[in-house]
Amino acid sequence: MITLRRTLPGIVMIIVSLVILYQSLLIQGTEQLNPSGGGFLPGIIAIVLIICGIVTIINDLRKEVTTKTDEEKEKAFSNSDYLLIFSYFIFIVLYVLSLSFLPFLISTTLFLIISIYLLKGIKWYTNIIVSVATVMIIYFLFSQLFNIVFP
Amino acid sequence: MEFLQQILIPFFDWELLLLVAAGTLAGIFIGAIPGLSVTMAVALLLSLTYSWDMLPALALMLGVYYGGVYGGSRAAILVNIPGSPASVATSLDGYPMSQKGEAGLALFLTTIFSFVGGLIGVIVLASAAPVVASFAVQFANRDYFLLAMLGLLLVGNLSNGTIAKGLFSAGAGIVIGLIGMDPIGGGSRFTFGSLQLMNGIDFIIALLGLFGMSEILYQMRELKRQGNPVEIKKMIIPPLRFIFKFLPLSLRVSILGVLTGALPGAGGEIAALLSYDHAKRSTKNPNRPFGEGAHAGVIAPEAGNSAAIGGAMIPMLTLGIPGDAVTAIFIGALFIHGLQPGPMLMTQSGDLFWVMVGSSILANIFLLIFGLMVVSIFIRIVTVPKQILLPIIAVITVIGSYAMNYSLTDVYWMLGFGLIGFFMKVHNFSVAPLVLGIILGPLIDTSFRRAYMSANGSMPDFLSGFITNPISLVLSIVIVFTIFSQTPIYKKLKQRIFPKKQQA
Repeated sequence: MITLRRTLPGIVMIIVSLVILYQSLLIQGTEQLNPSGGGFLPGIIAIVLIICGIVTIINDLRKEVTTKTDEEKEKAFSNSDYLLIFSYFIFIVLYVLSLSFLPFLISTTLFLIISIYLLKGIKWYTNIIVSVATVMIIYFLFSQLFNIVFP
Repeated sequence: MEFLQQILIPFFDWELLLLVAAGTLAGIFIGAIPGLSVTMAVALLLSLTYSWDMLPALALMLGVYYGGVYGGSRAAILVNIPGSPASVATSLDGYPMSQKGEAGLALFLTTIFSFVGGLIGVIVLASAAPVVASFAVQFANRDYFLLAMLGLLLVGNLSNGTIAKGLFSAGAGIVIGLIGMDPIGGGSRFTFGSLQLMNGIDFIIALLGLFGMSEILYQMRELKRQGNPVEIKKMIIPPLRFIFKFLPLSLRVSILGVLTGALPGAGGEIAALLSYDHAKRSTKNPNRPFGEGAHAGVIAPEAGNSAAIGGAMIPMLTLGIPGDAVTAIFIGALFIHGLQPGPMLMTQSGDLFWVMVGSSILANIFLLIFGLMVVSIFIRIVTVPKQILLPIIAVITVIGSYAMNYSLTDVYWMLGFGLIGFFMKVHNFSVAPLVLGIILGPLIDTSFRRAYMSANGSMPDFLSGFITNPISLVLSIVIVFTIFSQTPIYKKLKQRIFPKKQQA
């Protein structure tokens, strides 16, 4: 299990490279070994990428399993970090989804107020003032200065 | 003397003047806020100024570029969080200076010498670019291929993380850049049968995701980490003699900065670190040891990273090869406005070059003015809570990616790239080579294939061209050396030849 975790980046690299290699072999209408064809260079790159993946796996396996220093521990992401990050990402996706049926001003104000509330640490009146003011500024700045038509 | 007139255009055109001023001011603030990067800001501006004329758009972006690189030092000095990678070196001595009650002096010195460095960068740009361009006209397809590969290799090498991961980023970037219609053969590549992918992936969307959204996600867990601001009373203005004392050092590191910036792939970050290192070795009697608040320790990196901007623009404007991530976006901007960056740019639209030089000078002047004026605001700016900052950046990134084509599909693409960028950052893959790969991919592909075709499709002719042509030969040797310098054999050799230097 630990070995799998350690070699995961390298394995993903190799899978991605194999997809690229397969796709470059698929490119139509060219002979594969003709350098002026569309698939030759991507094919070469895919092979280099596979080598990079193998090197990464070897490097990761060679690293001795030492106890992590405090700095490394601080740098590593904990599960609760991931939970926070992915739930916030999903929230951003929901916001983008809402743009297709809610007016920009309403959905953005709601997004900001709920975001700042969920991320904690800011007083509720500061939250509302900041959110409303930001949306106003963004709206006028972007629609007037950058001529953007909002959804 | 025609070029002098063109340099002065932004000084007398009130619209350009205002835009450079606004850009520089905004850039200083963006740079000063930890978590907002110059790259992100310039990428956003490119998407927002899509419908503008070219000169106003470039003026605004140049202002943000100069202001942003300078602004990064504010946060480095005041809260020990570098506002941008280019100011990492500044925090080494800048923050100790603040702790010793010299925040005002540190802010003043960095402002003056950022101005000096920036100006030297522009002067070198103005004098070197025409020469490089006239030389670059002789470059053949093969040389462009080699140059672009060299740029990618350097970025892959210099970026943090291992060389294998850097190369992987760069290679994956090239392939992403190739998605869509094959410009030579006409077939489709890497589209997975999707019609939408036929037009390729808009690199601005990729940029906004990789530099904007991924950064938001990556910083989510730092919500509780805030720097402790130091007391700042006001800017301290030292006597002129004190400033003149550092002029020779600032000149040396500025030249070093320009040269580093001009290397494809090495930007302000590396220029600042090299400059800091140079100052450390060449300053005989620093007022304090380096790392504890030496004056030269804040001057050198700031002069170096500002000078690197001018340097980075040389390969961008003369060869169409970006020096760093921001100039890569500028190349995109030139493409969007119908120009072909490369040696012909100087001859076909020389006026544009000189207006950019003029705008750069102007940006440096505004940087000096604003930098000296708005000191007290900085302490408030650099401590904006992340809880407020991150959602606002998220909204702006979403609008930026939507504004390109008024399509929500683009926004989803941007989010996807954001997720990719986030995982890359978590696993120590550098994002910069990926972006450079996306932008340089089409150039590498077409120049490689054209070079092969112009060798009449014969492999021996094609390969011998790399050795017989002097330009290609030099580039090939540099590339081989770059790869070789990463191998264990080289490191062993180096240890055997310079055993003492290794220990030091």
